Amino acid sequence: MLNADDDLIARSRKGEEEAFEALVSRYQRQVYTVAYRFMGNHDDASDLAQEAFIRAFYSMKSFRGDSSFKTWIHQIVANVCRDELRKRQRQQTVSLDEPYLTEDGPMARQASGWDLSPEQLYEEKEGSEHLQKLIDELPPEYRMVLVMREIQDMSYEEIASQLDCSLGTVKSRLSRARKILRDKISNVELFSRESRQIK
Amino acid sequence: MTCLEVQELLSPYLDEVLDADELHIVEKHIAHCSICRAELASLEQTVRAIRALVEIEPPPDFSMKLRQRLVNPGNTSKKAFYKSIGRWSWMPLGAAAALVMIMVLSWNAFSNPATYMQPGSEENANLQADAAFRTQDRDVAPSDNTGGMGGGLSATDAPDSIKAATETDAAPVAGERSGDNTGTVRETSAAPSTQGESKKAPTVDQDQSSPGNEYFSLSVPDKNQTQQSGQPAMGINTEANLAKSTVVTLVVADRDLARQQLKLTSQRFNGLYSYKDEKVFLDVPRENFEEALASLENIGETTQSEITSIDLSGQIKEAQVALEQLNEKLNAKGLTRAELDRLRGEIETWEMLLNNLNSRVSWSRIEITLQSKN
Repeated sequence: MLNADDDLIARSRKGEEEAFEALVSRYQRQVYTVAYRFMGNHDDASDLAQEAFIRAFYSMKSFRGDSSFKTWIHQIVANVCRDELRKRQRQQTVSLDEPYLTEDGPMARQASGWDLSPEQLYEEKEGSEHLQKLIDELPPEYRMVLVMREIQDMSYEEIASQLDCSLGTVKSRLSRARKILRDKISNVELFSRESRQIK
Repeated sequence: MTCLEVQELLSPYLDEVLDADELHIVEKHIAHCSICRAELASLEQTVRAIRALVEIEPPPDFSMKLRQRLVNPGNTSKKAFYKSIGRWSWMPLGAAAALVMIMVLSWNAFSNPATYMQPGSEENANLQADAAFRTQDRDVAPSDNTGGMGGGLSATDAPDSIKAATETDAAPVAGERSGDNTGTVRETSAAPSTQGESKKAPTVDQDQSSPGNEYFSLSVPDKNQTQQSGQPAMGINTEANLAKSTVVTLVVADRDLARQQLKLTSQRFNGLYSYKDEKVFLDVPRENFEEALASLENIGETTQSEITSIDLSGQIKEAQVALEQLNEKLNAKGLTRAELDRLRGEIETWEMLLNNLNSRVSWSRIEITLQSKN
């Protein structure tokens, strides 16, 4: 696959539309999925996945081939989504859609709690939609770390580089994101969980 | 190491990024601690569930639209709200004048200490100030720029803005696509109102009728609209569109215990718990508001000030009418691209406003100040 990518990249650099379109065709599903996991809706996913390919096309000349095209395009789409989420955070309005600050960190203003177990989640027909909804409810900084790790399979170091933060921050955000999701999924009764944790 | 400390290491343990000492501690602990084993198992299941999410097929027109954007970078298929409102300069003169008026009024509201601040985060004050109609620099050319249509694709044809953006892709820089130029709008209900309690048919203040005004802040109790609990709402068709909230002082023996009980209360009523300093906020679906409020008596002695009900019927109706009219205009023949953009931008603005109004009606807030008995 890499050799085929190299050929397509070389031809894309020369401005061959067909070569770039072949690259798009090869990776659009992955890129679109990543954008969708970040943004949680098809309109944004489509817009930002296209944006990622546009950036890739116009910066093809600067692609040195140190990493694979797959890694590179994954970094670009993560950057595009990261920027969009941060921009929206800055522009975020005080509305009922805004996350709360709770003792467990910011949480979405939406009633949580549903009865599917993690196993049921991916067995149920609509489980993936529910899970995506729960991911969407995460605060953006948590969501970004989670998607980069679980969907894009980035290392802690890669995530830290992408988000320009420390490894410790990646570690703690990922841990919090997973726990929040776990709690939302299992709808664990608060007191019993807290009493379990205290020892 | 306590269970709590070990549980902080379980997520990195799953990713196999613990150092040797931490790894040893965790494995030794979970070997004999069933609680932490269960915690680990539940986290692992969660991770498995996320990773099991399948890839999604892009829409059929994905490649076609990408090609269009490559040929003509300004031709985006989707205009998000924040993008479309960047076209505010094309708004009708009257609307622009109204915006200026709102901004002036908003400035007055800033200096009024009674202005409501959304609890939950200190940043919210800044967010409120930052919110409102924004313009922004686009990475790509304006949407009505048709230059380059039909031209061949080449990396050297990239607009400078895109070239600049792509240079930083490999080395992420926060705010790469920033460049926002924000206006400011705040709700001004803290200002004296001319509406009396006897007013039967609610009307919308001029400054509240604009999308920019309502969209960006939560309810500001207007004293003239405040009603005591149990009283019928004023005006027509109001009950369905009342945004309710209340402020309660709760005298308790143990404030920490009370917070835990309030968390449970929020869960019980499908609501949300948050806090800021000494205040606790319960946001519950409106239909659970009264019951949730009554249940506070089980936690401590309550001193309830009053229930505030703000009638949003007029504003909701106005938004609905505006949307209907705009959608009718959208269907008219012979619209230019600029006109279409402007209409879509206005529609998105009104839709956001309407959603916000509906959210305010759907959720009721109970603001609780905890006081110790001693």
